[in-house]
Amino acid sequence: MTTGIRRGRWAIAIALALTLAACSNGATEDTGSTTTTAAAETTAAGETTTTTASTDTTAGSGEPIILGVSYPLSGGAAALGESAMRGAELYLNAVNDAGGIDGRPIELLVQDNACTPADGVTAMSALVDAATKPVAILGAFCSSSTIAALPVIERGEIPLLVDAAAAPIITESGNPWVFRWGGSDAVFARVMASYLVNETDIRRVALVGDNTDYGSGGIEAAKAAIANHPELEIVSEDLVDLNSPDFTPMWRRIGASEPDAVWLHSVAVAGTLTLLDQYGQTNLANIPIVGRPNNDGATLEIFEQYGLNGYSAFHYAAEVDSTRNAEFIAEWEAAYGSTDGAAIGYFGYQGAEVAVTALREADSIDPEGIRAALENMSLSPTLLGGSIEFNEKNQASNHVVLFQFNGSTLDVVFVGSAD
Amino acid sequence: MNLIYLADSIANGILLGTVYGLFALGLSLMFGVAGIINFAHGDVFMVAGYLAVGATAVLGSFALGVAASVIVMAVIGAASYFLLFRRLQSASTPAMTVVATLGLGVVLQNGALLVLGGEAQRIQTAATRTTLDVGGMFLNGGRVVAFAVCVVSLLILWLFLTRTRLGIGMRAISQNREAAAVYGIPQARTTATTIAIGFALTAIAAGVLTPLFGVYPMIGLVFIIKAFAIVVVGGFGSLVGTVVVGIAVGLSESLAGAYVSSALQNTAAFILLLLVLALRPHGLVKLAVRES
Repeated sequence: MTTGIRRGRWAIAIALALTLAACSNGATEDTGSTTTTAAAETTAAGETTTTTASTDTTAGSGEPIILGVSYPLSGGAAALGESAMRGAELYLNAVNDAGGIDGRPIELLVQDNACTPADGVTAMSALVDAATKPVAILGAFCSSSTIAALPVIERGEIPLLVDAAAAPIITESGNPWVFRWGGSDAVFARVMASYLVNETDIRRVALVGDNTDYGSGGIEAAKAAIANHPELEIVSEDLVDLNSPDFTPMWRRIGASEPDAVWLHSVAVAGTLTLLDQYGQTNLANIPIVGRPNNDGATLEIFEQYGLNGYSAFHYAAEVDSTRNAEFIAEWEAAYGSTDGAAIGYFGYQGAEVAVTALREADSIDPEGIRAALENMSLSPTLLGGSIEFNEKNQASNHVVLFQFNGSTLDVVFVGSAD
Repeated sequence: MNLIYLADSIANGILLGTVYGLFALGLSLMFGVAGIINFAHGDVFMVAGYLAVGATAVLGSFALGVAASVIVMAVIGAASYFLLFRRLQSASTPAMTVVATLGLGVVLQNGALLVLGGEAQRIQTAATRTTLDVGGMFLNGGRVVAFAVCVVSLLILWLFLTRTRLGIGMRAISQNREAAAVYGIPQARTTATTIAIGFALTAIAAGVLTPLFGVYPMIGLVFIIKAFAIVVVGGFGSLVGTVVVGIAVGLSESLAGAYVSSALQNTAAFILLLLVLALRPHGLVKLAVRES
């Protein structure tokens, strides 16, 4: 072998090792990015950005109250994190404009977790170890970055208000500092399974999840829910790597098993859009998608393109008919010019409201005081018209939204508790 | 599972594998002629994909959009030789090339993330929404178009390499740079042209794949490892070897995904490549001239 080729092969070996180390493994949502520069407020993991939620000078002039935020602001879920940030800022701007909490403005201390476990830990560590500690933290949006950061929260003893991360283990773990006001996949799955049996002819289901904590946890929750309904049958189960370029062999295999529906549980990142795109390309569009397909704009565009249909259980839908929801949508549109992103902005907005409610009800504005306030909180009405009260596992009462989609048309068919 | 299902899986594998081969060929040519291992090759694919999306939107035609992105990427390729790659050619160690091109890739990824955001961009084409019934096999129109474009591109490339002075010069340099210089083959111009062609091939692959997979800042990482594996096994600078291995990769993925599981789909290709290397350590196509 010539020297040139030998050098070349060593160079390839070194670089492949470096690249594989930076890329995802089977249990993470890492899209491979190791740097974060998505927007003006994003930070590299480990660095902090302080954002004052309002620059209005009518905000209180007292010592600011620091609220931590760990959201995916780079990587495949960056668009989601950015919308959630806008939601939090929208709510907190109004609070600060009205004088803050006893004259004290609320400031956000923001960390980017890139929707990966490793960056989730780094981001949460930066928050709990900050020179000026936050009194509570919103986040971390993605299940895998939230789960990875739970030990950090326990060490830091700062309440974490969990929003979109729906993996059941987050509250089942019993971490006393974790409060999930958003829904759990265990509940979403129970509602979906019951609806399929009672309201549809769907009986044979193919399970498809991404190979992250979110996807695998969701599939386990689906299996547990389906087990309670002997009418339902699981015909196949797949956990996919969203970094794969080609999902058509899997879709063809699933199509050959002739399911009545595909139960999908996959993070709303670029790879999931490819997954759905190829679902449409393989001529399976007549088979409904159920479970937890996402309802963001890009996903709906694909639904519309291929005429996909099905049902999705979700935390929220902009179409929910409630006074507070209508006010939120109007507020969002006034602030940002359209309703784009509002469905995800909900997480930041509602999460900020939970935090502010706890701040107002706390005997002392510190982590321990906030935790006690959360344990006794009864926030009502929420944007969905329900209430948020935490049970013994710090899991809030769950309102679930079930919507039916036909192309890009969404119809809310159920809003309420799973009980 | 029946024969139609098997034929469907094989056809799908060949369609996609041919595109893999074309993408990997750009990388192979760059190493074969310029001696540059471009670890930013996947990010070149990403940039080309975004160009195709933008050009299609501006020009109102997918074909024109892809053609425009191919031309632009060829120009960028030639310019990159004079601005970057020529300096790397004289690098004393391959590690410098690794670091430089890896760094270039990171810059491109994060630049795209910063400017264009993380959401995937897509091109909607009539072909992608069409399913062709070929003897009971259901083939996606977009993949058939991608395959046809790649076959034509490969044919043109082969004619160029075997029938034109410049193409023959490229092959001469890939076999023996010093001897080619003695025979008066212009090194800089030929190498710049090679890189331009490599970027153009990548742009063709990106253009035909974007309607199928979309494009987002990190998509290059999805393909680059496959491309390197294809080039290593297929033989550096070997058109035939690279395309054959590309098709083999596509076939192994398709069959593994269709008959075993999606978890094995990505792994199957690398198992195959490792087996080939175990039997033929020099790759599928041994570069006999270099060995002598």
